[in-house]
Amino acid sequence: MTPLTFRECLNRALDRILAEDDRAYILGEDILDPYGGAFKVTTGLSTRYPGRVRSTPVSEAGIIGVSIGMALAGLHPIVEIMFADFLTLGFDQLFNHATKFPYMYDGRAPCPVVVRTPTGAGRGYGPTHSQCPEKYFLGMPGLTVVAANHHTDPYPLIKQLQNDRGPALLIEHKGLYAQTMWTGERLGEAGWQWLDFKFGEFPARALSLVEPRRCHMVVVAYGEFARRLEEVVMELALEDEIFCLLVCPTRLNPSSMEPLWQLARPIGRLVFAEEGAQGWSWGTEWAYRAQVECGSSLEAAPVCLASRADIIPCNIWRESETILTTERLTTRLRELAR
Amino acid sequence: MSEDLIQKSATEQPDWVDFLLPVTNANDTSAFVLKWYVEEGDRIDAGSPLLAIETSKASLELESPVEGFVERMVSEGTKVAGATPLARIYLSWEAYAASALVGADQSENQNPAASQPGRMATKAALELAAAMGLDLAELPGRGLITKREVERWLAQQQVYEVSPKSHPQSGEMSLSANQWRIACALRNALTTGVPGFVSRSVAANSLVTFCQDYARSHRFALSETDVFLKACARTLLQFTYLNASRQSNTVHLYSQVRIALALNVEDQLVAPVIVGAERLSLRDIATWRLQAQLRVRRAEPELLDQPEPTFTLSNLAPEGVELFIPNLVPRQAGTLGIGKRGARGSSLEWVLCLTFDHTIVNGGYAARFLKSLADLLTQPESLV
Amino acid sequence: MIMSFDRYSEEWLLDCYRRMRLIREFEESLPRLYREGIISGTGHLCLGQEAGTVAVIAALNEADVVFSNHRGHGHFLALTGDAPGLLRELMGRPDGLCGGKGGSQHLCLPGRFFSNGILGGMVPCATGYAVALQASGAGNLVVVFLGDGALGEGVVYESFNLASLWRLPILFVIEDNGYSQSTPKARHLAGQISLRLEAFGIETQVVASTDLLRLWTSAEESVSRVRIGAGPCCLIFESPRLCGHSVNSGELVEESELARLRREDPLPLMRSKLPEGSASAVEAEVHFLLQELFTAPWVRAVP
Repeated sequence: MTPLTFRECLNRALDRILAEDDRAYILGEDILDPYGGAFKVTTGLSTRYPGRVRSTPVSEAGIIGVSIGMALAGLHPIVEIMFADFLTLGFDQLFNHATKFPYMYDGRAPCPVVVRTPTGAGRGYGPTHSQCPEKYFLGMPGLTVVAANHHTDPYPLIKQLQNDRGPALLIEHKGLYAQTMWTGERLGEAGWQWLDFKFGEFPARALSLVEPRRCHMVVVAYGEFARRLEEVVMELALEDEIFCLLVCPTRLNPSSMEPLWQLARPIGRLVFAEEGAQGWSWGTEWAYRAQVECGSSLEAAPVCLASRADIIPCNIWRESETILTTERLTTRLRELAR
Repeated sequence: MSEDLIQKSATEQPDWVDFLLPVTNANDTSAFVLKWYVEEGDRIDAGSPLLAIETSKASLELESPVEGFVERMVSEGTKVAGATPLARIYLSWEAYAASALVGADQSENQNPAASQPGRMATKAALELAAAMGLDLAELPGRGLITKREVERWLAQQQVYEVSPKSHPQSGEMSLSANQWRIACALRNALTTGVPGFVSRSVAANSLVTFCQDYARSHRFALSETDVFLKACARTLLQFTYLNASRQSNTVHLYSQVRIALALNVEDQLVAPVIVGAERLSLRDIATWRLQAQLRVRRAEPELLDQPEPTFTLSNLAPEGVELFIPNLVPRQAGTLGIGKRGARGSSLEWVLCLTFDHTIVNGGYAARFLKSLADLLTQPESLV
Repeated sequence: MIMSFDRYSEEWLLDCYRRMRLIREFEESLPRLYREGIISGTGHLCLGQEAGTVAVIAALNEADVVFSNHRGHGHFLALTGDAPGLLRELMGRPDGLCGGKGGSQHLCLPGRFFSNGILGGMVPCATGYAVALQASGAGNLVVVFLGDGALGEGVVYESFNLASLWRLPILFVIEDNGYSQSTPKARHLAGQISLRLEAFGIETQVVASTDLLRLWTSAEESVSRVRIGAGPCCLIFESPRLCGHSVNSGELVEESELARLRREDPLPLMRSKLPEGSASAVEAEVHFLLQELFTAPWVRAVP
């Protein structure tokens, strides 16, 4: 059986959700067949489920707001925002409406909207189409932020998000769509050992090439960036016998990070790596929590690695001036292991 | 989450044994972990020292109850309470290797001993394997092959495939690389030097008593070999021509005293080298010796990187040997063999035998060396 | 609290008047409560807008849904009549409508009434709710109240566009009181409101009167249109705001202007249409009810 790509998996997940739940809707710009969405995620869906897969005008605030109203009325809307860079247009609807209703109405108005959006660089789309803006949403109380990756089947992930009482943001790095999903068999063949665990209700996976007790550091990364870290970890292991335990969470803002501290305490070093711009970011918050909650077991302060806080040039060969590349990651982790 | 996330593989037959902190008396329910004698994943024999702990009453060396591969469960310098597992000893290499992260599809390959085709290996592992002429496909298990896996496999091959039980009764057996090397070296020594032999008996009582008293007061088991090493080193500082070598008509007096302690392990003869024993404390010498013995058992490749010895000492007294005349060693002016005879008590004697290169020193010099050494051995307190 | 009387019957008219008086007296009592610290924070009174509110609510049925804004007490009271519940919520009490967490601008009766304080922010949510009602096919609709000030927000126009494109069962009620906080319409709104709606193909009625019956007639017509699935409609009610923007802002218009506005006060207008005795009886009834409410022992400042 040929392994599926993430895009295929996601398309099947959405199909299954629409098939099983007649209250499920998908809204987005240009998602109708035959175009099937800017990243072809919704191919075939509008044909199979007419009326429940709706193409909208270019109105991010409007369509997020509309999905909020649909959720208040008991429907299960999934909104596709074509590029995460455009999420900001709908920030108020998430910040002052969707995340507020479940709480300020004292639990009487659940609002399980799922907003899906592609992030990330790597295609030369330029400064306003290549960003990883999830960091700006991480601190929003009441918002669940989750990053898809090529370990996790998106179907149970989206179902879990729909079961929550508040809204959720599902980040899909553009580079993921064409990636083949890992299966246990393929992981084993490639030489990896792994452990599946959870942060709350959301899956995470720890990967290593050797027993965890032999690892020099724990490296945490999410989404497609975790896939790049797999290459880095492999290179460091083969070339320098520097072993890293790679942890790939799906939920970016869990309430408890204790499962990670249990893995990190015996090893004693933590690194958080992300593609987003450095500073005031996903990594800095986890690093702070690490210091507070397991700092006494760490040999050194946790390290945050991220891209430069600068625009991402349009020229694809110049993206690496801003974006954290695997080469720089490898160098940096090698230095840290000394 | 209160439960431990890392799951150990659970099988019906135990693959491992947990070594708990022994509670020697009712008042002593906790102990301090002083020092590990093994590294993570090292192989250990039953009865070999595993770690040293300190209770309120004494320092103890704890020995492994079984043969196996060690997982260290506590760190040096920590305090452990009664019945804490100190180490987990896996009964087989496969069991140790399997105690890693468990993948979800482990069932695909039920036979962990079968080697996985196309296993990856690190650069360091590939280099070591190539240097030792090892085909990595021979290694059992799954997952990444690192230098450590190669070293362990080499150690297993060298030490544990050739055991007394597997000695052939008749027929031919080729010399191992090590044996051939020693044979060639000894033959060379004969052509470059002329051996002379002097022997002397030394009353053993004072040294035996000294070692017992030392053990009691310092809570540390000192062996006579440690004292011999230090006494020998001190004496060589005076008798510098015995800490020398000759090249045609030039005698080279070494600046350091580096004594090789000949250790007999199975059919191998390996001699780890201690540098500057005259300055070291008896305890440090003993620690060195213990570690050297362990490493020799594992025939670690690092042993090939010993500094060049200036003198060799062999103590066969524990084997019950009375008189032992050692062979000359190349590039060494002298080598000492020690035996023991007599019963316990006042009739117990060490028999020291010095083989010396007659082209460098004469019998009188050698005899005076032995007298000086004997004096030290009858007054071992002067060595502390 | 949907009217079950025959339309235009005296009972029905009295009921409308009762609701208007309830709103008026309730709102008029609030400034004292704010001053005395019984209610904290801010509140936005809807004095002068009662007629349009009651007219629209009167045209709805049990399953229609109302979305409101910061100036939403009147919308809520017209729909539910639940003055005690509203007061508890305004006071921030745990037994309030939303557990005391929402307060004046954030009210919710699940499945019936939702309000929020971000200007224009509820309009797309209301539009989305209408998507669900359309899908259910039960012929119910959503009403969303907004003011002329909200027409500065872009998301309002996104909602008009979507509602019209998808022919959603939503009624936009624009309470045009001529002010956005302290800014008169001439300074914040270019062009005409009605033309905006027409540009999106939304049927619009403009009523420049505070006469309940006139307002109700227009409301009834628009509601019927929306209910049969003819697409969204809009009602633009020009009504006076007889108070400052908020309880804390004081009067923001000149005295002369206020006098002019007071001439359009819908309550005296309504009263004049009713038999004297009945009107007084209604007033007394409402007054008594609210007196009891506001002098209840639990209506006091919490230290």
